[in-house]
Amino acid sequence: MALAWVAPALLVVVATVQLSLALTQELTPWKGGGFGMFATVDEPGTRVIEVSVRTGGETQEVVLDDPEAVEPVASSWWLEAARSLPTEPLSARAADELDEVAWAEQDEGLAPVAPDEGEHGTIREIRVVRPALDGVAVSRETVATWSPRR
Amino acid sequence: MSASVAMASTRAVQDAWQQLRERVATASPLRTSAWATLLTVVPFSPGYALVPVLLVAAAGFSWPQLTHRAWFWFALAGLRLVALVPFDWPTLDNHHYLLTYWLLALGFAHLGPDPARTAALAGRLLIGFAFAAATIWKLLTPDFASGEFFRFLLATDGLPAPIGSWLPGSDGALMEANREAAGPVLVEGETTTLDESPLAPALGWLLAWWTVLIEAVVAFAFLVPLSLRWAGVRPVLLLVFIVTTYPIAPVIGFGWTLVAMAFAMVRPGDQRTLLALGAGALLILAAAALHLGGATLALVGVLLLLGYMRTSQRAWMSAGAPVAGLGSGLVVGEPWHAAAGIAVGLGVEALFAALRRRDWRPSALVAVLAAASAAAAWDSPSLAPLAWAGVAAGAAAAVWCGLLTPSRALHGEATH
Repeated sequence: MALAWVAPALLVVVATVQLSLALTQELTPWKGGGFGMFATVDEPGTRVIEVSVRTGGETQEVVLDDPEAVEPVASSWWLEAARSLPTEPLSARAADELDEVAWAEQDEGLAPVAPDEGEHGTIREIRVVRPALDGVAVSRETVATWSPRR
Repeated sequence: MSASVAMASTRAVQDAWQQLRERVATASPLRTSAWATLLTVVPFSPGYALVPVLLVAAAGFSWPQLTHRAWFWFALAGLRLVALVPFDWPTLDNHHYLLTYWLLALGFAHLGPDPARTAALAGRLLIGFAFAAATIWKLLTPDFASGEFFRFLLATDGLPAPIGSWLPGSDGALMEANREAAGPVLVEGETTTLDESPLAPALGWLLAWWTVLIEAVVAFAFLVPLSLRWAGVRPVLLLVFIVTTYPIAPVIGFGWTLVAMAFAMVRPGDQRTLLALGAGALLILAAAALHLGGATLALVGVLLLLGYMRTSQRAWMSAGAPVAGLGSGLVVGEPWHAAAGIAVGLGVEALFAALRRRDWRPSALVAVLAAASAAAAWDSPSLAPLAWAGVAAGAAAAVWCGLLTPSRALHGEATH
């Protein structure tokens, strides 16, 4: 009967790691195998990545609510990962990907575009923000901020 | 005329019900659980692992004895681990974890002398620990315990079932206005207060604490050893959870994994529990069909039932691969994906039927079906007709191979 305990023990180990990452590294409770879904509005879909980009001598704030906007110039995978778990290694890798992206002014401000349609910029800061609730009052809360050492 | 049609229909339904009861009366809980697991694993595998997972699962449908081998379940678990962990872990939903643990549990169960008892215990512990973790998270999260999480969902119609707009003092326009107000909060940083129905605070609190209560009770009942007399309460509690949760939030992958695990815990001969759990799985499917607006999803249920009612064991096993293919197509999203899913399922079944009967002619059709699946994988609506052509070819292959109308040879093969 010891064989029956192997998979459940694995579940307990993963869920414990997930709980620890969520409490110490801001992993969203919805992800990571800890069964925290439907417990909070803090899920990857409601988190937003904000980036400070320096282009043409000017620094601007860009909201990347859809990480796939950087495809196919850069991989959105690292942005998705940093949004769910905004640790330093994942944020650094996301910044590396964003360094490949060209930026141009669009209707709603600076946005990622095809390489020949914009200008490459330098990523100054990456922030992950999420909604915070107080009754039915909704405000924003910064989950994590990371600046590349350049 | 109409009276005779009505009588014939009634008789057909009665016959079908009788057939279903006879099948359930002789069903092995572990085999039923294996079948439900295979049906769940194909639709809820990532697109890039779909073909190998479907191949392995279809082999399990075609040769049920494979499901008695540990390596079969380890192969399915391994395929999911290789496909999911490196690529999808930041975005992976919890039912993927639970399903993979269950596949591993089935593998480990078949390494020992009593797979049925070992799988039953593993399923019970997996459900218990998953519900315990879910309860802990809900108690740890202040937004949940205060009811604010559900109030936010009720104010923005954030639940799959639009119950927020059904409340007095609320309607679709209010929901839309709230969503528009909440949208820019993260971008602009301004705090917004949403309007809500006067009943929403109480309902939010009630939904929150009912969820905590039922999940905690399920966790307790599944983790604590109970006497044989009291063990029967476990599936009842699980069904209470299913009936009160999934009509509002039909997470079909999670619900079906729970039912697949619960099947393994049913005592042999306990028809009522087996049927109740099956009804629970269909309820989840119906709720998902309502939410996704998919009449085709409801078709999965009908096909499932028809497949299960076939008197030839080989035939109802054979229905599994196309049904699983259809399910995967629907999960991917568009009707032509579903079409290609059926095509691939039928094609795989045709291939295995060819292997069983040492008749290789249907394999030519398999190539057509693979082309159809490639068309769907291409994700191009303009290639959808090719996917539908694949379905037609697959259906022809299925009839040819005697999958849907089992030939004497196949029937004989099943009874030997």
